[in-house]
Amino acid sequence: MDRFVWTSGLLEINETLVIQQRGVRIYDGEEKECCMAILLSQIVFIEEQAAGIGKSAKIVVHLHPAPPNKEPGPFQSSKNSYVKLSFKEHGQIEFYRRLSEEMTQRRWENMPVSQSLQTNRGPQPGRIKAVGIVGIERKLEEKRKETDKNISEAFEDLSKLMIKAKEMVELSKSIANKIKDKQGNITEDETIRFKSYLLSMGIANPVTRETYGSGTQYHMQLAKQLAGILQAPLEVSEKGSLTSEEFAKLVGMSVLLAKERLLLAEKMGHLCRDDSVEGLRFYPNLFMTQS
Amino acid sequence: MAMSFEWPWQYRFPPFFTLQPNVDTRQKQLAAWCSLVLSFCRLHKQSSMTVMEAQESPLFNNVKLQRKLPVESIQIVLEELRKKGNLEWLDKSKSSFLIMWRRPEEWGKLIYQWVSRSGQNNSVFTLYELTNGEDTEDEEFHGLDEATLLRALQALQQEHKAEIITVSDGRGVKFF
Repeated sequence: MDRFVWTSGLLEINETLVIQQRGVRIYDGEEKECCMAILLSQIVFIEEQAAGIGKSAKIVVHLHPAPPNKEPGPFQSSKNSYVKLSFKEHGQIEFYRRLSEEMTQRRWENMPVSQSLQTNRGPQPGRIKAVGIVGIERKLEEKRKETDKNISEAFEDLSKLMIKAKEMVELSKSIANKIKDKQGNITEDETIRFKSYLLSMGIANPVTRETYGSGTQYHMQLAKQLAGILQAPLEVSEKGSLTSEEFAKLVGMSVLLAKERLLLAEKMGHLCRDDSVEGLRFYPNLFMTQS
Repeated sequence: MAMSFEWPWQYRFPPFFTLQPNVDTRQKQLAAWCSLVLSFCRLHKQSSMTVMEAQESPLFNNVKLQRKLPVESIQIVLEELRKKGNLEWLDKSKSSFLIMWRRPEEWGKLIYQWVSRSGQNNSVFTLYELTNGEDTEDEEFHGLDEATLLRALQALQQEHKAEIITVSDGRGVKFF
């Protein structure tokens, strides 16, 4: 696994400790290996793998290819594009939850790049342009924009919203099927890059058939994820405006996660902000919906 | 004549007074601000302003809503207006500006149309006659402030449709 870099084990400037878990074994692909550091920005997306008989629960971490200017690590090259973290002493649920949050927040994008772990020469890791399924990507980008537009229009009427939500679930079903059908022709790397599209839509960990099997469970989970994106704009619409604290209390989530949901909805154009001495409030984005 | 200025819906919407980080949203927001500034200045017959006046004016300060657009954001709105041709800074330190709800070129066009319509090409006018004369009472440019008028005539001058000249007690213009 060539994405690893040597590290002292101490926190760099601009790094904070999110979570520490003992007894985690790292597999390079399917092979058991020992451990060091991977930058969060190298992660495309993560999946859970349930425990089995004689097998610990695992988190599969899919990675971008190693950048050419990466600091030295234990391996020069690897045929695998993912690592597995095997939780021998449990703790995978909380670890997964925290890692998911970090993947949604993407705090490293706002930080100045740490000198010792990364140099900024050449293309930035994690920003590799997608190739290979450009045609599908473009069509889906158009569909995504249309879907965004649909969401904006739907907020005036709750019943319309339900119809749109159903349409969105159908859309993601068809996307999922497209992936499945092309599985033979599309490389795993391309599939991963496409899934990072979903990541940019706010689905931090797209449900996959590997994690949820097929059928009703899979579609229900997908609908749940999509509903997660629609939740913030919906609640704000109902109440007129909300702060992070109010939203968190309303839906029963941490203020941190509530804020991330609101910021994501703002990024997608569903909400706008009112920043005053009274605090930060989010409103439905009437700039886009009113004439 | 009572002036009843109708505020647009955005004026009562608190987010209007926060510069929006989302680029698409911001575009709409700034367009609404530009529109509001121009219609406000037009109705109140205000052709120039200082930035300090602007900050405290009801235009950027909605007392009832308890929201005011911060000065850095006001600067951004003013810059948008300048780019569109509706605003000109009157000093280097950008403390006061000329605001033209119609761009100088548009005023120039209206004036020249009147000149042609009334068959007065090759006539000479004083600036005062143009904006305050009896003959122009029904025209839109009647009562136009001198600074804007001058810029309108300069625009026509560029097109060789007029020439600004000196007359007995000030400035005038000859139309071609």
